[in-house]
Amino acid sequence: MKFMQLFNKKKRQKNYEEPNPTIADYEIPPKPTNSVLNTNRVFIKETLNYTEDLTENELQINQDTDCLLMFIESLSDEEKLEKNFYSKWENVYSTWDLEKVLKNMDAIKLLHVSDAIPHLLEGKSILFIDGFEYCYSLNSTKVIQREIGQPDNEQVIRGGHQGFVEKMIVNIYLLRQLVHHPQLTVRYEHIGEKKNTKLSLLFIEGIADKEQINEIGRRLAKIKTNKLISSGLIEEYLEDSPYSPFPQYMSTERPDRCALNLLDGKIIIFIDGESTALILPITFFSFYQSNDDYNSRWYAGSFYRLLRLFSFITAVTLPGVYIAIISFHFEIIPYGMTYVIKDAVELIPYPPIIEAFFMELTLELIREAGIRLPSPIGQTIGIVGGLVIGDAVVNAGFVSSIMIIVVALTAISSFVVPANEMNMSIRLLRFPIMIMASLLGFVGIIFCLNLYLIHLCKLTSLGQPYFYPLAPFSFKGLLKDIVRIPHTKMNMLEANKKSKNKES
Amino acid sequence: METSLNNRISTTQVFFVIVQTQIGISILTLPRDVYGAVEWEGWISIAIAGAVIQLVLLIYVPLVFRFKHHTFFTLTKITLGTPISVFINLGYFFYFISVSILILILYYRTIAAWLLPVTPKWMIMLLIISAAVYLVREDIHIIGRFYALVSGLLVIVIAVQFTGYTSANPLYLLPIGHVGIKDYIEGAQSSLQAMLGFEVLLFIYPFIQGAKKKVIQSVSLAIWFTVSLYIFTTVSVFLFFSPDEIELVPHPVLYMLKAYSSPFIDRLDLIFISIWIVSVTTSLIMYLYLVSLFTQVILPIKKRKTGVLFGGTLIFAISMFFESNESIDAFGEFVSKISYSFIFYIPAVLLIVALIRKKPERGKE
Amino acid sequence: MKIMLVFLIIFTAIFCSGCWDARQLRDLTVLKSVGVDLTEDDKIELTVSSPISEKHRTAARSQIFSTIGDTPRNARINLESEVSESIDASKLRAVLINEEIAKEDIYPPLDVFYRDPRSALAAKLLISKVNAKEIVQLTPEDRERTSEILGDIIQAAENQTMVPITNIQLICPDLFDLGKDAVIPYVTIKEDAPKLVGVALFNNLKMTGTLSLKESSALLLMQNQLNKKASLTEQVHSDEDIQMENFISFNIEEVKRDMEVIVNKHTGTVDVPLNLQIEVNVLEYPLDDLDTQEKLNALNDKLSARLTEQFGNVINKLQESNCDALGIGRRVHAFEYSFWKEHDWQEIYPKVNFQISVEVEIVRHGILF
Repeated sequence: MKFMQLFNKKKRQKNYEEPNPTIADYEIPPKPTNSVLNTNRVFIKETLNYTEDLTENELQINQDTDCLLMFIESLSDEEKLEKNFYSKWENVYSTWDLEKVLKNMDAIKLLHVSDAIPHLLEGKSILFIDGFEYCYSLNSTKVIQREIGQPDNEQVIRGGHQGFVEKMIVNIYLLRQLVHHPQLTVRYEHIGEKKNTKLSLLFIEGIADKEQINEIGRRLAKIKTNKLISSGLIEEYLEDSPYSPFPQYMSTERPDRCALNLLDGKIIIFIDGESTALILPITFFSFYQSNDDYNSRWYAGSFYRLLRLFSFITAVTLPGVYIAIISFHFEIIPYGMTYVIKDAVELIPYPPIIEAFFMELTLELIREAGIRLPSPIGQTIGIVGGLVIGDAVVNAGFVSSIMIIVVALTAISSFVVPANEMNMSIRLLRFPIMIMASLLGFVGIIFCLNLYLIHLCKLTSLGQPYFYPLAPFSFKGLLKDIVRIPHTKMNMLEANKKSKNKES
Repeated sequence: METSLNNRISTTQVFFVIVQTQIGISILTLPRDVYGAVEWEGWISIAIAGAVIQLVLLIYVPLVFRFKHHTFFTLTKITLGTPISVFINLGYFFYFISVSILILILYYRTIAAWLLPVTPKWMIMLLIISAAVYLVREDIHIIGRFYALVSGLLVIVIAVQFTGYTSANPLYLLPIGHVGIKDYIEGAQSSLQAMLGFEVLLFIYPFIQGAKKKVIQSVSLAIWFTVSLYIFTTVSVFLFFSPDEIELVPHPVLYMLKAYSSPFIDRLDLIFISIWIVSVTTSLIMYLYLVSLFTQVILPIKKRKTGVLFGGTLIFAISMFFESNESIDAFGEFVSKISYSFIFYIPAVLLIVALIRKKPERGKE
Repeated sequence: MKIMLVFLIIFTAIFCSGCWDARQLRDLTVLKSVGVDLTEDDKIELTVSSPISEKHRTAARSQIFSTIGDTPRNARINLESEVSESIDASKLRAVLINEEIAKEDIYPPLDVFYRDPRSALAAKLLISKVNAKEIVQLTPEDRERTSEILGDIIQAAENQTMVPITNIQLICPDLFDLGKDAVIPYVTIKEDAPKLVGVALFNNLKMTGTLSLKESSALLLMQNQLNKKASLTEQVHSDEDIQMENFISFNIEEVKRDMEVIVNKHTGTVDVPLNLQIEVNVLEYPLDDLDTQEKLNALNDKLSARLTEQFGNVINKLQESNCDALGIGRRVHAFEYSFWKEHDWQEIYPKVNFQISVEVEIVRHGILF
């Protein structure tokens, strides 16, 4: 019997698979508000499947008109209701008084009781009045938000320590605090199959490219999914080439970063319920900039920027170059080093590519294991992985000590990037190089780098060249984006740019 | 041929396109080639070749300005009429195919001799041709961007050669003027193969955005940049090797770098040859682009991307047939012989015809 | 899907065929020095030395192999059958060629180095007076196992301006140049250690004579190739009681060379006035009387005379062995090309008339007078 039940269950699950059992897909037939109060009550209760956090409160006006206030207690703020509604109820003697009270609560008149359902689900309260062919939706939404704190993944030493939270309005508030520009425009969009995800587009009219804004609108309209919409999903829909390994939009939790980009003509997207903002269009080099660059001396700022770019090159090529050298071109090592390296690899049983893959994968495992553990345990994992495995593996003669150095250096270089999504791509980019290096030596590495460069030249972010200012080459852009010239000079460059724009 | 504004290339990019198309396979062999004709005065021959090309440019310039919106393929049709133009365009198509094949097989020969003697031919060729196909699928402005980007590597090409100057002997360049004018011309001819690439101007002119004067400037600048780089390379090689030694060395630049040794790095030739691969790729890319342009403009293949794949496969397949050194050398000889007519005679005839006919600028459009 | 399929095909193709040209460093025996000898039946004997990895924990410090073949390459191919790993000569530090071979023609044993794309052109080239095999076999106990004593000796001597800075490639232009001849360090064996004795002089590709270390220093000064430093000791007195007090040692600080090549086309003779101005720093002078300018001048004159004589002797030796180490022929070629074409430099060079004058000036004398 049990077996049969299991079988049935399976069958039922199969049936459930289409249509997808998400909220979005639940179709409510339109139904006008009935003048009989009870009909409405039954309808709502049925639609919400007699959920037990649906609270109803019966009220009366002048002891003759029955009213019914319904709300979902988990979503609504009863204190708000108390303050704005119940406390004023005592003064209500007629429906006319009632309308006055409701006005204070930004009530919305709803003709269809079916429309009330989404309002309920947003945390609003619905007020039915017996004999009325409409109902009111009252704002009683509960606002519970995280404190505005420094985002963990993007810490800076100097500068603002605020980060975005999960509430879109607060995020826009944070941004508006930094940018007092009259042309700062916010546009709300509802996307998804059922239009139930709210997001906002922020840009500064006149600085941002109108074409791009329209393009974003077009692409957002294409999102036809009924899944829970997250920034990652939106990103993929907005990308020019979703198959590219490079992230084409930057996500950040820092308002100051957003503000800088906003003033630079970029567009910001906030998604309700997420604490990350998407910045677009973006170039490759933006991922290598940190707000700290602008707050430190410009020599230091430039040096660290160049260091980060150098880290990109080492993170992508170093294991490949090492493999190529010890299996193809060891004559490039100077005489003094030759025997040092030869001694280190002398008794290793595996080809270097296996060695490298083993170590790289170990490292990825350690990282992946540590990332979701509470931080004290995470550290332990790091130590166990890094020190114990590294040492043991060398002593066991499994992997050469130089390979450990190479892999460790590579790992460190890949963590230098300030932006997390770029970090991910870099780590993946080195595997093809390693394979080609083990097959063809330097020729293979050059082939891969050639392809990567071509790809970077091809890549666009919202139609803007991704590898600017290197491709297309621009010397001024180079000064601005790759090194950090002093702010005073930068202003001059920008002034030039503006006057040029005016001319054309 | 209408080209939309956003896939045009700037005059700066034209400079890089021409430089990168010119510099490629023959930078390794050029010093030895010119030495064969004029011995240690080869650099003079290169300068002469540069001057001659500058003159050839004077034929191109009025021709392309006359037909602003046409690539060379449609231009022939307008000036000479359909039957002859089909013949000539087909000729150019084969010319570009053969130049691409020559680049590919010389590249393979060098790589096989210096780095990977055992690796199968198809593998080494596939690497470069697939990279080329991947880029040529895009519009010319992306190609221009890529060329400008990799031109940064030329700095390294120049820098590594300075290591040869540690044991340079300036006396090896003297005496000047020990051969006759005829020899200089012969030397210039042997350096012609290295100069090929400026003829792309005929085909990419409609894609260029910029004033006429600027275009001429940047093309001339490109030619002289290449010539100076060649002269620099040749001179560094001549300073490093004694005259009788160069005759023995087919790739003197690499040979010079091979002798380098320092506590930090040895064998700079490995670095040089890696960078050189990129230069070869850029040359191949341009010719492949021209091949695909032909398929788009002339053949009924509407999508250029299909043409690219077709051209790439064709070049790859034919290149696989060249095995012996003699056949490669003979083919190289053949290509440099036919190149005279394609880069000089035909454009000259076209210009004369165009001048006589005084066709309106727009042609049939 | 299509892309995935293409990738799958490419990757299987690649992995099935393997790594064609890979030469794993751990599977190679990396040579550090090679000696080439001639056996009695005119075959080539190749002796190679390679350090043994410390991981192998053996008492022996280097592995040394030796084979006989018709050519150096043939000998090396024969060597492969003796060595368990494949042999690699791309990190060679020193190549020794037996005098016997050099006296006939030095190029044939070197050809294999010039032809192989992987060979080490930066290796030092040496001519050995005794069998090269004996020198290569030496493994001094007091040095690191990976160090190559021959390379280090030459390096040190180069810094002291005792031998010219050479390696296989740098020597090549001179070997082929008709207007300039090569000089190559010359070593022998003494008390179980290699010893640098001077340089071997070449006429084109043949070894024709030798110079001692002191003479080769003089040659280098005449070539204007002063390296980091050069020290000489000269006898300037003969009347002092204590033998040591007859000598002076000095460092050469700076050399100014003034060389001209004057070709007389009518007589077919070449004159080479060669003036050297040498500034020296006294290192050792037990008499301690450098306090007045007169004494300095007297000493300067004495030193100048002695050096002029010595340098003249060096030139004579060069001319005897027909070794144009100063590159006079190259200058004639560059500036008097018609003369060069008409005459055979081989015959002209021994008759070149050198006029040498050396002027020594003591510019410093340490912290004592």
